[in-house]
Amino acid sequence: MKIGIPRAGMYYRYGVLWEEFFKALGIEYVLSPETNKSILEHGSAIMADESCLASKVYMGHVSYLLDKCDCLFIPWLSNFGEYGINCTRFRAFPAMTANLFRDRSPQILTYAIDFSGTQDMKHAGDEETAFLSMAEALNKSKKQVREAYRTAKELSERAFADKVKEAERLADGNGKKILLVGHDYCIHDDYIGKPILRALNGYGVTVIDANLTDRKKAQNDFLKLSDGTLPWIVSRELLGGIVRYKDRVDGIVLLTGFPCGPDSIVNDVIKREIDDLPVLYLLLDGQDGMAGVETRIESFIDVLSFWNAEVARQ
Amino acid sequence: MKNKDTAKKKISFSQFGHYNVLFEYFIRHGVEQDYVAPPAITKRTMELGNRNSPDFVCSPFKFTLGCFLEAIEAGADTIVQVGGVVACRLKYYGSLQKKILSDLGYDINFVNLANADRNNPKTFISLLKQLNPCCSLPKVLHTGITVLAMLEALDRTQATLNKNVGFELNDGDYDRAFGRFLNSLRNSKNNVFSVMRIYNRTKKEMAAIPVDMPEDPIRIAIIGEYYTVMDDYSSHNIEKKMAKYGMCVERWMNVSNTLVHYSAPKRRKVIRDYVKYDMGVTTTSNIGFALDCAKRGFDGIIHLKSFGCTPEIDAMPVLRNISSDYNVPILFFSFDCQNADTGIETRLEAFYDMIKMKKENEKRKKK
Repeated sequence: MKIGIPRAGMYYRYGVLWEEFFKALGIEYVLSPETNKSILEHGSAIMADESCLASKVYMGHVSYLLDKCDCLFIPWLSNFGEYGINCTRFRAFPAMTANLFRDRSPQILTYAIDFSGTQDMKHAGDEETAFLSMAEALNKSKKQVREAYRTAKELSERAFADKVKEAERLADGNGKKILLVGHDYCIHDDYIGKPILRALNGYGVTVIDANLTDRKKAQNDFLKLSDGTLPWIVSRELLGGIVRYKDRVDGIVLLTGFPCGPDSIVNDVIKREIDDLPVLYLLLDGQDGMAGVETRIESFIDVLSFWNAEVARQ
Repeated sequence: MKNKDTAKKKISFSQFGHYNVLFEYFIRHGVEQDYVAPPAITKRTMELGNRNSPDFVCSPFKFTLGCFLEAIEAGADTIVQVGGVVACRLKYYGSLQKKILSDLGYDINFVNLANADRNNPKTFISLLKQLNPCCSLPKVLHTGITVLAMLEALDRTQATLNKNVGFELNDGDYDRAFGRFLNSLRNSKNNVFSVMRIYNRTKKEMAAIPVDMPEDPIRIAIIGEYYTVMDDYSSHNIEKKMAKYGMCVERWMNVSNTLVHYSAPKRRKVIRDYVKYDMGVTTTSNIGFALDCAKRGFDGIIHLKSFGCTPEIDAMPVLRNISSDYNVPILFFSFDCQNADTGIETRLEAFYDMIKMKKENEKRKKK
């Protein structure tokens, strides 16, 4: 059995875990390539116009993978208990895939994360139990799956901790630093966020990813910018990242794919709460041309230097 | 200065269908505070809300914020926003709206029901105390039961109206009866029997209204996003417009059906052929109702939502599949604070014509 993993959505959060898990079990998998124009176009064509950019990208990857694998790997990631919930779209991906591509009868492998306890899903619960529920579908014993999960989990946590350490090092370094705030599936997508990263780097600025912060600590840190009713786990971590790095950077760039539900509210909260740093709000919708974005980045870099001079004068 | 114990809070809530009548009753008789009615939603409400809201937030955020601003102008000093049970953006409305109002310089109490936790009854009591520090719990519970009865009565009466209003012989009969019904609810005694009496009286009154119901009327189901389907201004009065064309409208989604009678596991079972993994929020109930209507031979389905409503967009591919499997036409509307009704009317008219032709063709084939 060959499994297809879309390089989109939660792949950017759980990619290491998933890949190491399948590697440890010796299961063949295929990862879709970096997003390109054709993938986005396929996704846009099949999704409703007003769907968010990230979901168009996701379905583009699904469409690419459909005839290159036996089974699509689309986890059902919904409710992380006290840590918050996911945007409902991630919960909808398995059913959406089944319905959007019904004529190509996709096979879907999934696991369910749902701590709400209100679901009657069979394999709801914590991550390990959720992974174990895939044993039958993968034709492996529970023991094999458990071991593979634990190995993969350790590797993925170590990889993340290393990234956080690197981000901390960058934040403590010299030079102009910008905190990039956005969902990691936007920031690290080769077609959406990477061009912006490259443009920023072109001005010699150090870019720090706000996602790279201790996730447990972020659950407390975010309360400095919002009250506890903020539901989304990723938004909580991003606000936590802002609290963590805010005093060590020169400016903040908010990167959002149109029309992201959580960001439509959270970005406004950020803009209202951060009054001591310049904030650039970039809203992307899969445009082809980079000229407009480049102009805005260039002027933002200019603002940063004025701002520094202004602060120095005070 | 007013004595703190005697000065009553002036509490307000945004416009939301006809449910304000119930909220008002609960505040006046249960919490024993004053109620300030938000002015009916107008273009100005929308503009006020729009101007102070983030760009592409869903339109209920803008509508409710506009209502709050107008209610404050009308003298409200305490605002209540919902957000308890759902898992979509609504949960975070209150937090930002509170910030927006305080950034605008208003000094008001903002009671955010998103702070309630279903598993912790204490959170509800602390919210009640924010409305009235010395409210009587027995009174609140007693009024709560009366209001629940009112909710049931209101939703049932509205359903009767939706089904028949398009075929009334004298224009406005149903609306007048409905207006009288709302008024009686407002002045009802605080017990379930009085509410039942009012409901039964209205039921009789409505049954006596002369209608010209064809043998096989065009039956249309309305589904969609919670706020937009229930609030007439948000939905551009689509139910009334449909009635004018002589459509028999059925809408399952109302507060009593979703909060009191709804069983998610049951609905999930019904839609298992389409949705193996629940998509959350209102998708399961909407897809379930759409499927039910398709099986019952409805002539069409209309799906309403605010622009960018994530869960309802997710439901669209499933609805399309149901539409093609059962040969039921479906019309999607997405609203975002536009003023003009013309576009909506044109699409509705075309939808109606198409259904009428389809129905006639099918009849001819049968013969």
